[in-house]
Amino acid sequence: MDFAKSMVSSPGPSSSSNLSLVAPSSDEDNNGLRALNVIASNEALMNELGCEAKGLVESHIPRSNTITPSSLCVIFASYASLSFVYATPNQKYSNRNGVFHHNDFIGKEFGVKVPSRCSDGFVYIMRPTVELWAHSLNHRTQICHPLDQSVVTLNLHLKPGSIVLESGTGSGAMSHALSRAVAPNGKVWSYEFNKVRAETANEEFKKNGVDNICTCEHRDVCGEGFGESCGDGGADGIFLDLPEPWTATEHALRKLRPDGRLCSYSPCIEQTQRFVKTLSDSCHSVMTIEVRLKEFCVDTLPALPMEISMPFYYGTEKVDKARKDKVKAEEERKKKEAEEGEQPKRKKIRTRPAAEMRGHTAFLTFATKSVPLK
Amino acid sequence: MSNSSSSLSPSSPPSRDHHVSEGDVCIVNFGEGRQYFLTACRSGKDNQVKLGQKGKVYTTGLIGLPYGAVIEVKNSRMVRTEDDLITPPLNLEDADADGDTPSVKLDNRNLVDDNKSQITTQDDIMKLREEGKTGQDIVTELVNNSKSFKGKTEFAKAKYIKRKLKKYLPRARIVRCTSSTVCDVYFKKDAMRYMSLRPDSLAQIISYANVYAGAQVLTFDTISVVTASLVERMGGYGRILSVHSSQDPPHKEVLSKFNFDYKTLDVLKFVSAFEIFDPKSKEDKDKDACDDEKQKLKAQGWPVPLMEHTIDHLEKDFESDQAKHDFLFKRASRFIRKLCRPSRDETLEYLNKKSDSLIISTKFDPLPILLALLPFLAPSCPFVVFSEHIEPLAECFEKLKSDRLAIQLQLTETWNREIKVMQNITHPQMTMSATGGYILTGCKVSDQCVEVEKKGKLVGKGFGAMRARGRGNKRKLEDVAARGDADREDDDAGGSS
Repeated sequence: MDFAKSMVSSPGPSSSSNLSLVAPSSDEDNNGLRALNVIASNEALMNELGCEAKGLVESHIPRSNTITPSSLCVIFASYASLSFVYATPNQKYSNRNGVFHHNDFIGKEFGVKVPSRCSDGFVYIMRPTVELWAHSLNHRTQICHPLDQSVVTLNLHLKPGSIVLESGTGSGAMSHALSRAVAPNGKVWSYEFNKVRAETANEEFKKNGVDNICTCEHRDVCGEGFGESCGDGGADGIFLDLPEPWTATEHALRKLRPDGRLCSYSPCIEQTQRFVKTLSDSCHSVMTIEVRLKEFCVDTLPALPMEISMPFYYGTEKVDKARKDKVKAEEERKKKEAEEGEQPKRKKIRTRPAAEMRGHTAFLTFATKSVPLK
Repeated sequence: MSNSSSSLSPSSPPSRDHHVSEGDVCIVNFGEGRQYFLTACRSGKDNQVKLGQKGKVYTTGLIGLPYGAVIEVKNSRMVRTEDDLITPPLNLEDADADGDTPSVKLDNRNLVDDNKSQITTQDDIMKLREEGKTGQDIVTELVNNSKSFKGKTEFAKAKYIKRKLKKYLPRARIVRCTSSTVCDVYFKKDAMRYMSLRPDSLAQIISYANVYAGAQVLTFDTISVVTASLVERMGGYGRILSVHSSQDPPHKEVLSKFNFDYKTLDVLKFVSAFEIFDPKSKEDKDKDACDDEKQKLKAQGWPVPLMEHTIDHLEKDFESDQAKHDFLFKRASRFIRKLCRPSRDETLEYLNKKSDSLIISTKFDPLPILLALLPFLAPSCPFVVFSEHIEPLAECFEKLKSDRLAIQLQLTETWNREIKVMQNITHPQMTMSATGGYILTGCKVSDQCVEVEKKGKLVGKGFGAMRARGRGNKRKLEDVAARGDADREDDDAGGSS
């Protein structure tokens, strides 16, 4: 995935300026104001740019534009139908729309539409993002949906450089989301108590190129704790997606730094209640929320096949006159339109809520570890 | 702010641990939506603040306190207290794992609400205050003198005490300023001004737009909270091209709340909307004003020498050397920022490189803005449009779909409910937000076509296949259907990897 690729550095716009630390000169000038200016300027330079007084360096990740062999491609067949392949020469991919040859799209840019060679179907080949991956991956366990992923990432206060602990890994969807938030110099330590799932997850991380940020360890954190590899009390955030999170609280709090954030993803309210009970001594700002996504569909209303003339009604003379004026103006407008040519009818675009929505995924409980009193 | 030894971070902030440093902006949270931004400083105009009805308070006491600490306001000063934000709830008989509710012996069947339960009068309370009694003492007095207190249920007693403490002993918690906490303050304080941007909507915007450190994000944002959160999420890597239609670069007020250092803030580059939407209208001299200034400054050398008027100002208006030094420090900082700003050509170069994501969250009509900015988004990259009204997003949706500009289009709203979790009395909160705005997401598609050899001739020129189907060429479709199955059998060996 793009976010895990290595950065490219280039000199920033400031490098063209001649900013550098200046040695203060010895001659007193203007009541020492010049000397004061030099000192103040040096300090400002250190404060603003840090040690690199020569000029800021910009870093960015160059985007992968073309589909290369063995790159991950997300295949979009229709809105509800997404899957993925690793592009391989001479391989074929088939789905309901038809059969698609990898050779047709290797070398093209991401986002192209590929028709099938033997049917009228087509698919789009897309660059993988965390959200597209979550929609297309193989579900080995119930995954954390993009909405919950985004809310958890924001409420754990994650940013580049943060260290996050996650348990359990499951299908790895949440691990990708956390990795994206903490890349490039952060770390996601993920734990899974099922050996096969842990191994599959590690393989996937490697194939998707995120293994420099995220690793999955086969371990039962409820019974054994988080282990030594994730450091000692320096984690910025911990995400628990466990059937019995209250058994992991103590282990989690030991690994969490003071003022760090803890989150538990629990489908049942009883799990949430038991978990919150274990937080009372050492955490504050405990908040439990649930978020639901409501989707809308967009339709265009069809027009009636006839003109509706204004209803005739009896009213006062004033009203009648106003109505007659209105009808007259309408006729004049129609005449003008007929002269100028037919104007395209403005489509009436309307939204309606989708018929079904997901009623519940889980309760998200957030807490902050208290800073100990001195 | 991890404690790991990753010193590769370009944005290693100065002394960023979990204590409030001098000059930091933090949130002081009194609970129930009353939150204030306070700057922890020793002097200056931010030092004295008026907090609601509590009068003037000095913010000096905040410096050095750990985030999460609870403070009380005593004599206009902030003092840390060891207690919790509210008194701990009274010990209730906990249920065992099966969930039996404990027997609540008291209820309000005998309560007569005639406003005569409290014996203590206003004058008595004034006297107590004058005697210098603490808030805790006043509340104890009120509790003891309340006739109906003993007859209350345990929950009602706790509620009563909490209400009284809130009035006579206001306590607040110090909260660190991050995207979610700052967005929460603005949302609760003045949702209309910030287009009902609720924290979970903000979370979705950042995630669905695939924002990551090192990306180039193109944004048209009038909410400012979105841009500030993007700056936080980029961590000093990559670029944010913020298109703005105002004269001066916007977002200053909200950005100042985040305590960013210069390296983190440097990812934000500003592009004037005129450059993109209406390049002919802006006159040449306006366009290059910033660049001219930059050239002039560069020519003067570094450190920027003192001009006549500066020397006069320094000598007349400043007494101490320290004050002069502070003025010169600020002046130098200003010049550094001007010199480090990218020139107009450099910004246009960034624009033309095409961005990795597009975010539009503006009070203006998003459709023309979206159509104008979409060419600057690379193919197969996501975009997000946020609006507090659904109609403009519906128009965008329809246009994108009919012109086949994007796929995976989704128009959504989020429903967010907070749940009060307590043992045996868990329930969703009584108040709830009814709207967090609407979000339209999608992925831009490429305008290139892949040509594929099909039945001896090349097809795939855009919508050729679809047009064939649309024409209702039934025989062709039947043949294809018949052959399609046969083909699938042949291609059994291949298939999805």
